[in-house]
Amino acid sequence: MNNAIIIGTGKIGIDLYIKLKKNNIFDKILIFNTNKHSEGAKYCKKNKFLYFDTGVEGVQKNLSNSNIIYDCTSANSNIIITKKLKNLIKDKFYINLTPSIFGKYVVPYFNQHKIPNEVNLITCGGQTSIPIISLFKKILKKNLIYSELVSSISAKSAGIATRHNINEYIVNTENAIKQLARIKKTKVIININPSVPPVNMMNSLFFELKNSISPNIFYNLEMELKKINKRIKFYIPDYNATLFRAFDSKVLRVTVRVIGQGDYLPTYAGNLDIITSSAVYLSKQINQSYFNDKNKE
Amino acid sequence: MIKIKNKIIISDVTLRDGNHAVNHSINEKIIRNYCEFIEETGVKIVEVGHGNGLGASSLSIGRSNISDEKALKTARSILKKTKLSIHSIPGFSRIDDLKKAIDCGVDIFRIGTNSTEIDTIYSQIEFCKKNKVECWGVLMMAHLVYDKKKTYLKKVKYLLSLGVKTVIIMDSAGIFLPNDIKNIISNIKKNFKIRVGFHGHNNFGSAIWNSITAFMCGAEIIDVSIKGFGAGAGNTQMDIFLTVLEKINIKTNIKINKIYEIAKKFPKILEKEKIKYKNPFSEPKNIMSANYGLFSGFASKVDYFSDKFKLDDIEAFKAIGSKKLVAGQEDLIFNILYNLKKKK
Repeated sequence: MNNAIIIGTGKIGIDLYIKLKKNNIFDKILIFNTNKHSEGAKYCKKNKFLYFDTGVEGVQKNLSNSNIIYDCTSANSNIIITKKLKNLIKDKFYINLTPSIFGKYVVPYFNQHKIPNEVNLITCGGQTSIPIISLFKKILKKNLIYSELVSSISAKSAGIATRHNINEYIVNTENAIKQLARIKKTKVIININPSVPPVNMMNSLFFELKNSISPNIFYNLEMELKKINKRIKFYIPDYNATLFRAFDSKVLRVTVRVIGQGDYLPTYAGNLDIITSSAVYLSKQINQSYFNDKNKE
Repeated sequence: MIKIKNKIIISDVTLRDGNHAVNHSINEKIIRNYCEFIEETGVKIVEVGHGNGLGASSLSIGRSNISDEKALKTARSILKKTKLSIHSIPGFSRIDDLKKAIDCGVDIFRIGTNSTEIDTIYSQIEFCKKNKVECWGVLMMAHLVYDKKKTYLKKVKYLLSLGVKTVIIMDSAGIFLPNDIKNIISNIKKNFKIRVGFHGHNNFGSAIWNSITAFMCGAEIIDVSIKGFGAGAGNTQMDIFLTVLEKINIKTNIKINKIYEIAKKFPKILEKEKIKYKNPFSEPKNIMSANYGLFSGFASKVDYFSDKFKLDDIEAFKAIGSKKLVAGQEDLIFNILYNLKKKK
């Protein structure tokens, strides 16, 4: 048996359930929370998900057949849950989709050889921007002195955990950018837009340069950015980054629009999609290497 | 209108909201100079910082001339009788920024965001409570929750549930008229035991009378700025407001002659620091901006980009209005105007 466990029935938990099911990676997907009256729980029951309201205790009892556990709760709950599960998940993969600091930062785009057992998927802003920031750092080197990310997400796509975890979101994203893109000075801003109809997820990236760059380098950045758009499509189908010349010659701006696949929430919720899609893609990689190892044995 | 028994607290936002008017270039000297003056007037509260508050200095919104810490420490070193307050929007500011502000000796933490999303201030309010500092809730862009269902009452109730004892109704777009203010403030006062304040913008020329109405209906805190110096069309003009209060026999204990003196000197204080001073005025674009319910602070960004793209500023505001941007989305002004230019 190759089962998966999802903890949390918020927007991310449910979207992930649907995506994992669609991708047919597991025999069974079990989803847990502690409140059977929550909106998410009702949705799970209505759609005949394998849903349990037994919380972490329930998870503990069902670990034997599951190789991957996805934490889709909140930053605070993540701390409590990982404490309780610590000794039971050592040989398994624990994928943290909350903005807490638990786990090693992973951006699936970079196609890591070895996936750590405790994965931190950072945040939607982190997943969206880190491939680009890393690329710019690689090309611009010391000429890049600062990066800034402004994420706008629609109010309808921001659940209660997101709303209470704004601080964790910013701190975790900034730390991951510093660590993975090797940039010293960075700032992250997040906005929640209440417009009706809801707006698509948008990210603005600003790059501050020591010296202005030649048209050649600008062209090079543009071409490399197009490659990212193409490459990232195999797990995030509608991702589009565009480079603009700002009016200040020492500033570059990149706009990234992510349109979701509309699995649980409509397509405007690209912010949900990018993190659940990252989790799905990672699961495929884990499964592949898992079975490859089995075959070798 | 209710019988006026409450005292009025004048809160001066010149050094924070006014930063919008000069692209966040207020420096140490200006803060020092201004605070020295205001300390002598009897004004109760002075707010200092980047236009969008704590931690908002950025490429997308505009960089502050000095760090938050420097600004707050400078003001703190001068203000003795006058309290020091800050504006904080979670998403720009982080808990770490609050910690620093506490260390700088800030007295009042005004935590706010677009009213519809007010639950995002939860963790900052909890942090303030834990650290036993005075925290208020600020309903920014309050017109977004002023509807038939009286959604603003729900938002106030939520703030009360967090233990917030003071709420500021912020007319960030400058769209309210005195009758709207009467409805909002008296309904809040009727339904809840909470201290209320009002923060006006003058796009429709009604900041003074909105503020007077707010006070008459039970608001105790009124945000003002010298000469109305603030984002877009500016704020409630302190020098006028205090004079009008006197005229209708409302006592403030503020030395109004000192206020006139500052009003006269203020442009020079800025010009001495090579900052171009312009009297706040509701230009057609500001009227348009309020009409669309846009954040007043957008004005300087829209000016900048419509100039660079060679677009008509009114047309620019129309395009942004149709996208329903809210405070904080300054980064998207570029994209909207870029597309507008491309269409031509």
